[in-house]
Amino acid sequence: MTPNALAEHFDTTRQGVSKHLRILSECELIKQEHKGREIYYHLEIDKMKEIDKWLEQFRKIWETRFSQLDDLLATIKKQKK
Amino acid sequence: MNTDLLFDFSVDKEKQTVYMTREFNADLELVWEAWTTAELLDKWWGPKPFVTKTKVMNFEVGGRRFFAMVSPEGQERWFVQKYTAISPKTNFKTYNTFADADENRELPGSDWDYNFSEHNGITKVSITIFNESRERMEKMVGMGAIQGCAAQFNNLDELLATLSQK
Repeated sequence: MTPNALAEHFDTTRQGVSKHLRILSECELIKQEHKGREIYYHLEIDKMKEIDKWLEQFRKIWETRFSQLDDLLATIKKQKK
Repeated sequence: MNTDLLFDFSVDKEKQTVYMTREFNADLELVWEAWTTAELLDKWWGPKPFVTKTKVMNFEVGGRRFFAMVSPEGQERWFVQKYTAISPKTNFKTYNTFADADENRELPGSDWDYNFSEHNGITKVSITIFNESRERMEKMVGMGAIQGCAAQFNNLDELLATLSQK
């Protein structure tokens, strides 16, 4: 999509959209393609997935931690009986 | 294991806040104890294959927990959680930072808010994690999506690592 086309979808200025696009490009989450005078931006799906994966790892850590707490609580409850 | 215990995990990219809610099959008293005493924390905080060792802990406002997560190879990663507020068996708040083995803290850190409530013998723990640096947050947020490139990914890693204490 072009920056102008993108700006139509958001309640923000064209400058605001450009700023976001610049940061996303720096992060390699989007890719630029020049066609004549227009610049088209594409989403880098794989990069987005990396972020998902990263969040998933974080979630996993807590899942493991919480299940260890489940075990501990069960052990303590048994001891008290 | 009780599998119908709730586990909710979400990230608010705008507020750069992480929310977690988990239920435990035990009464409030016991769950509170598991979260607030060093001896019990070290038994579950891990997470496997890591082992957590708490070196110092005074659970009082202004007090702290200074602990390490130790990898199976024996590598230590140190953390400090300062207790900023405590309402017994209801809520406590911490300010978490990375540290070295001499307890020199690496600022900035993140704010953690833990809420506890019991219903029918099931105790619910809700955690909110907020990263104090707005600037740091904004770097990570673009167009409502979490994003990261080299340097920013590091910040994000740090946030996650703080969250996970890994």
